[in-house]
Amino acid sequence: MKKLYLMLLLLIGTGASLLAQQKFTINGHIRDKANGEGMIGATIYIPEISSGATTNVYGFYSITLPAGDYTLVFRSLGYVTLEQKISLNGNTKLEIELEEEKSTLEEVVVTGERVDANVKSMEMSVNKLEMKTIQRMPALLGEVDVIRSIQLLPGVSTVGEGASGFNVRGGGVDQNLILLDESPVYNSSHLFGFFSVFNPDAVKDVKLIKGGIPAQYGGRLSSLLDVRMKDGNSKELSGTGGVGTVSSRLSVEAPIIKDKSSFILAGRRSYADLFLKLSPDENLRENAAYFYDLSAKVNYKLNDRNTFYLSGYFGKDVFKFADLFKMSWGNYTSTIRWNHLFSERLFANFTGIYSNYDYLLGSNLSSQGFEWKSNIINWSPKVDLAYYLNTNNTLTFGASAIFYTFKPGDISVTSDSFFNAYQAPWQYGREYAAYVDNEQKIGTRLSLQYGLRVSAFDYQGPRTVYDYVGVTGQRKRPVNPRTFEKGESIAFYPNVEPRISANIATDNNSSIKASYNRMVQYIHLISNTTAASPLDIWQPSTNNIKPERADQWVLGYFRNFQDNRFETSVEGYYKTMSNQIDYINGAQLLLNDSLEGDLLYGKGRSYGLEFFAKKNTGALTGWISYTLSRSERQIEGINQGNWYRAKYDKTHNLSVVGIYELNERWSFSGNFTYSTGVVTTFPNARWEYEGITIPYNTNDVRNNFRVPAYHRLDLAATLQNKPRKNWDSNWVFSIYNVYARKNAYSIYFRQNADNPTNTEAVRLAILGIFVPAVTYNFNF
Amino acid sequence: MKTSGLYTLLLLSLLAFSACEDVVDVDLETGETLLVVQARITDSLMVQKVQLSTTAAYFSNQQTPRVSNALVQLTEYNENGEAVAVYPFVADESAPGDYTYGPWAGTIGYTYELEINWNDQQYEAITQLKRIPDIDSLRVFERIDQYPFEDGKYVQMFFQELPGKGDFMQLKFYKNDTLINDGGNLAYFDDPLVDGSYIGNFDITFEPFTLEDTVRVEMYSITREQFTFFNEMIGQVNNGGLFANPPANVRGNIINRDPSGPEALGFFACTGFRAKEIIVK
Repeated sequence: MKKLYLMLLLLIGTGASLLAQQKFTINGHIRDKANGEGMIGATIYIPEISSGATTNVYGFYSITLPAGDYTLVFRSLGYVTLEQKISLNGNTKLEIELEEEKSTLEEVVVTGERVDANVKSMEMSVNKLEMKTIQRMPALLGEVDVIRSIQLLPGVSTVGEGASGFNVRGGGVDQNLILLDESPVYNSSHLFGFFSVFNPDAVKDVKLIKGGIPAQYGGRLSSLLDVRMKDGNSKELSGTGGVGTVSSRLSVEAPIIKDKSSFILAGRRSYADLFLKLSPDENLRENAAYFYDLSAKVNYKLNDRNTFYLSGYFGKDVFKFADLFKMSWGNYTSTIRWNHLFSERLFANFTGIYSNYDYLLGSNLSSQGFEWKSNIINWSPKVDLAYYLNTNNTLTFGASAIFYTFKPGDISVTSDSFFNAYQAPWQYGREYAAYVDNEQKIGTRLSLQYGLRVSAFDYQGPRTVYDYVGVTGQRKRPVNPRTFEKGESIAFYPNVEPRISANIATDNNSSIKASYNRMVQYIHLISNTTAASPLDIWQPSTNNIKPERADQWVLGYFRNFQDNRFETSVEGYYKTMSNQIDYINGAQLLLNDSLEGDLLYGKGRSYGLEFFAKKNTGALTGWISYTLSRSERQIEGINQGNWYRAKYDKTHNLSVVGIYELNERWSFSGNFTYSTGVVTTFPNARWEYEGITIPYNTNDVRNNFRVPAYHRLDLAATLQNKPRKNWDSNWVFSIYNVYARKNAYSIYFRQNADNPTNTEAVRLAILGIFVPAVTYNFNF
Repeated sequence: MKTSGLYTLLLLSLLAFSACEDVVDVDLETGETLLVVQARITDSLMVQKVQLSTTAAYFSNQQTPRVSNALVQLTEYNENGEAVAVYPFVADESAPGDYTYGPWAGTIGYTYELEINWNDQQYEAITQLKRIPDIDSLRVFERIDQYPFEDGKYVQMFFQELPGKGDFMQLKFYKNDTLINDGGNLAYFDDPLVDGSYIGNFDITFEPFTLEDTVRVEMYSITREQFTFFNEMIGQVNNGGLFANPPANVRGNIINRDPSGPEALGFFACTGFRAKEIIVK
């Protein structure tokens, strides 16, 4: 290990100066005074050196300075700033607790200079959403929703109402790495795409990284959505909950050993079906449609140097129509982590992850009974280290491995079923990565973050693999079978992913940032429908399916106004993508052992401009986000090999979010969103076959039309009840789609049911009505 | 076990949630006119028919134009690939667009080549007549208090799926000579999950019949190409909902011998054909 440090020090060229001067380290955590939660991204500013540091995701910070007298200003948005003077003459541990501001209505006077993250930090193309903000935004049926809130940020869009997931800068829903306490979540939706799987009461922090992605992260092309769960209140027993229109939720958190160990347990369940159970019609009780999720986390602080975290998530959606049909899907994730301080300046985190996404389809009909299960399972060990070299350099490095098992479909049958049991061959893969990354300040104006991620994917046996021959655009035939043994490498793909970002301070309130990153993605969601369905399977890279690769360049200008009351930014990005997957017409995606013969490969490009203005303080807070963008694909076999607009291409995308606090009791919020309609293909001819009229486009084009623009206004009002002893509560009244616009999800063509010679264009609106809801929330 | 069927079920559960549809006006261009072929030659002794038409404007709202000035002939090849006969199809004066030959029956295992000359273009299609099992029986089955089935008389079918993978079947159900599974409600299946199974107690509908209904079940053996063709067609005609397929052209098996000439649409099928009938008592 020592040798490695030395090498790295030489690499950065600061080794010599480090030895020449007597330096000491201040480190510790910044926590929330009320509940002991470690605070992510809180800042420590030292006016004497006009520099500072930021806490990591565990609330840890470390600063190394020459001996001397310093002022440390600890700050986090929405918290009272704390100043502390110290005389540094030895390594110092400084555990800080910040107190929440009573109300954002009061302007808080801050002494010293503010550290201003928007302008000063290395991060660009990053959006953080405070849970407090998400909780105040109007929500569909009052269900506070992380993913839907994210869709109001610049560069983020969706293919339509109720579609699962989100699209970032012209990428697919499978190109977002969604991490819940570092464990991947493969399907972020409940009830198709209407609600997201995260229980808002258990979430501490949400961060979306769209560009300038640090070398620590990889595995997906478009973005990283980093969701961190609360650690659990280490001070006292507390709880939150709510009774909503769709679901109810309850979470409890408490210390197990005060200031040493605590837990949180949060559950949520929809209950429309419980009314079904009360139905006098016995038959109706045999139907089911519900979702639930459970989040749990325990932490244990052994001593100043060692902390352990164990977190788990389990969520499920269940649908059942008597004996005819049943379906369910769910994510299971668990993470065990060990934070260890090797020295005052070397912070390490060891992680073990298990994640399993599964779905089940089945029927209990006697002659046709079957159960079809599909899973993607992964195990992953991981280590991440941060070396706080000095105030100018923070080095992070680490390594990870992911062991994948893909089960595309295991079918079991009842004894009298005419179906045969079947198991689609499982697939195995291993993804390895190692990275090193340095964040460096050069002088007072320039900071750089540069790193390298080396990743590789090993597609492994046992399996018989084929090559595929035939006409591109049509189903290809498997030839040349080759059989591989268990553990034998079928295909091995190494990749080097450079990452670099720069921040040039143009003055005290503004900066120019630029970044380049290469991302590689080894697993792919096989989905050929407008919205990804819970039945879609994940597929590893194989001897035929090459890893997807993206290169992204971003340039941005960041400026704050009026003493940081307003944050603004403009960013332009250009992204190229290779080995993008599409499908032949009529592709059979499920239970197809020759799936690779139905896939098409090509490239993609997307570019755009994102404007963002945010107001963080005062009675009125919120943001305006506007994105002008284009996303295109070129795939041999589609659109005659010419570029065409991707289904998530949206020229204009505008969101306005406002939250207004009228007084201690009432607050109001509103969202307005406008976006260009999705692209689709319109026919220019019809033909008939055995009484069926089929649309046709004689030019064989793809995505030549747009459905009308999407826009929607949502409003909400929160009424804070008079606080009682140990019981805080509020009512949230919300209206989704206030002016009941029938936003077109799609326009499709069909024969008229009554007069089969007539054809018609049909607009489908998923939620063409206004949806009011009331939710009661409480805290104790 | 068809995936589009599963999506339909998904969609149904979703419709319960909300979703609304309305007919809207859109302006469409009109593309060039292309030949459309519809043919289903069977292994039963009957007058065999090929029907020719063309594409039309999407909102033309009438039957597409029929083509009656083409030359149509069929060449039969035995298992060894030797041409054994050529059958000239003749335009039917009483039904424009129809070309007929026979009564005549195709042979299981033989390969057939359809040739069409129209508008100075030569089109061809080649397919094989696949094996087919017999329908053992149909039976009327009464259901009472079996939620979610309505009380009433149902018809079930029984047949032996032929051992050995690679069989594809289409089913057509008629009630009093009216096709029940019309439009996009095609019933067809492949055999990986039912290979060699005895398919019994198979409900042909989820709705009951009324007394004295005459119910006929027709079974056709189809090729893998036709199975794919149906998949594409179903994907395009049932294209609503959250999980719609991207709109795309449905490809058939008709080829213009001149690759740079206009393409032709449709499908030339040769199928085994079995049928059974029952009166609901």
